[in-house]
Amino acid sequence: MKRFANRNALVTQAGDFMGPAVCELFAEEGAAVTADESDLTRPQAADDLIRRAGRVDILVVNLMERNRRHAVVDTGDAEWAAMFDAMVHPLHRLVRAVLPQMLERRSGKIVVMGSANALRGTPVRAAYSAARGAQLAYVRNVGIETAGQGVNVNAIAQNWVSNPTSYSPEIINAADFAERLKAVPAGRVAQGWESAALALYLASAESDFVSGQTFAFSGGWAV
Amino acid sequence: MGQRLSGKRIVVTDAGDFMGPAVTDLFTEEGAEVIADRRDLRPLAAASELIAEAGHIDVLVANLSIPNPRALAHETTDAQWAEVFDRLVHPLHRLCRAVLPQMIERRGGKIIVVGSAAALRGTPRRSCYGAARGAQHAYVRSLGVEVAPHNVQVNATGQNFVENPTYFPPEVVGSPELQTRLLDVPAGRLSTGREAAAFLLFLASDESDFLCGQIFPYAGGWTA
Repeated sequence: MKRFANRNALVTQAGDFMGPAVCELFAEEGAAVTADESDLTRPQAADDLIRRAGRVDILVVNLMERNRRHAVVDTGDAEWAAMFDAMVHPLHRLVRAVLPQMLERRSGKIVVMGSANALRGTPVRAAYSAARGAQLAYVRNVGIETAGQGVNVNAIAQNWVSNPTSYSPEIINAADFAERLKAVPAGRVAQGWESAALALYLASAESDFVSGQTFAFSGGWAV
Repeated sequence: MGQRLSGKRIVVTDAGDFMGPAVTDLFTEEGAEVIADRRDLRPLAAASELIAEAGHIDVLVANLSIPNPRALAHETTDAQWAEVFDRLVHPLHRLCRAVLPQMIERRGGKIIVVGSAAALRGTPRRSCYGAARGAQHAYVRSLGVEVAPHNVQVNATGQNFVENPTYFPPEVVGSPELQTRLLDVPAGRLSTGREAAAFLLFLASDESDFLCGQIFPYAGGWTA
């Protein structure tokens, strides 16, 4: 049975991060997927996108700015701003733009593809992690704001998941990767579809009672 | 529904209580062979006997409960304290200890602990119960990363406000007091048992092979 028959799903930054895996799985489940690749850093971009998309039953907020890995003392204002401009401010603009139609229908799902870097500290990722942390705190609040009105907002906080942006084949096949993987209890990198399967649950009617929650998905790394 | 658990042998403990009925129904519909056990797990040998009798086990659902465990901390006797831990905590370890060898040997298996959000958010008169539920979560967190390298996944939920015969039976669901309590639940309603079982289904299926040692709140936003 197709779990998303007659559902319109909008996936942002669809060529990056979890975009390809989510689009593929949701389409397999029967959703009409709009795989958007527009630049969402402009203030007006989110509004424009939601208007173009029309009815959105499922919004997958997939935002990714490549982590530059600088020590805090070397993290300039421009790099700091780039993280928030790419991952935080568009999140609010997207949610603000799509919520009215979802609240009017008393039905909607928003899934934020976040990062476990917001749950466990690591060096040289402060700006990236702070922006990811802002996403989860936002989800926690907006999730309970809308919970009684048929709209569920939740986040996945992932790490060690194969994706074209942060775990590309070049990274996974690099000489130092086996050493890095020792920090992961599961001892492997997840396939993209596995994280997308959790997003599928969070976008389906099965999770109607779950809102404002963050789901760590990291092979035990962020336990 | 589909057949997401086709071919799996699944043990559900305390199957008549708490999430036992909903899990047994849904998992059976999804193609699992469910061993719905109802024995008292307090005797020291009970857990290992259950696992031995069950034989091959792909998924263990550690569904443990104790009805209405509310008491002020300064009035909670040693006997009450021990009773709560004897039902919720000690059998959990004995069950896991008994079932893990076969899962590790096969390099495959899942343990799902049906836990409580009482371990995640404080409420009066639940110090003992909350402590026991908290022990379950801490145990899962540690065990989950311990056995993950063997491709065995151990995870827990932290649920509240879910219809079930132990904590939210029909007489509670229909009571005026519940409406007051629901004001504190962002979702504004109870979850059905079946809805909650759907997340346990996710944790029992191959889709969750990368999750281990994790605690998943399921409480209508009450813990968010």
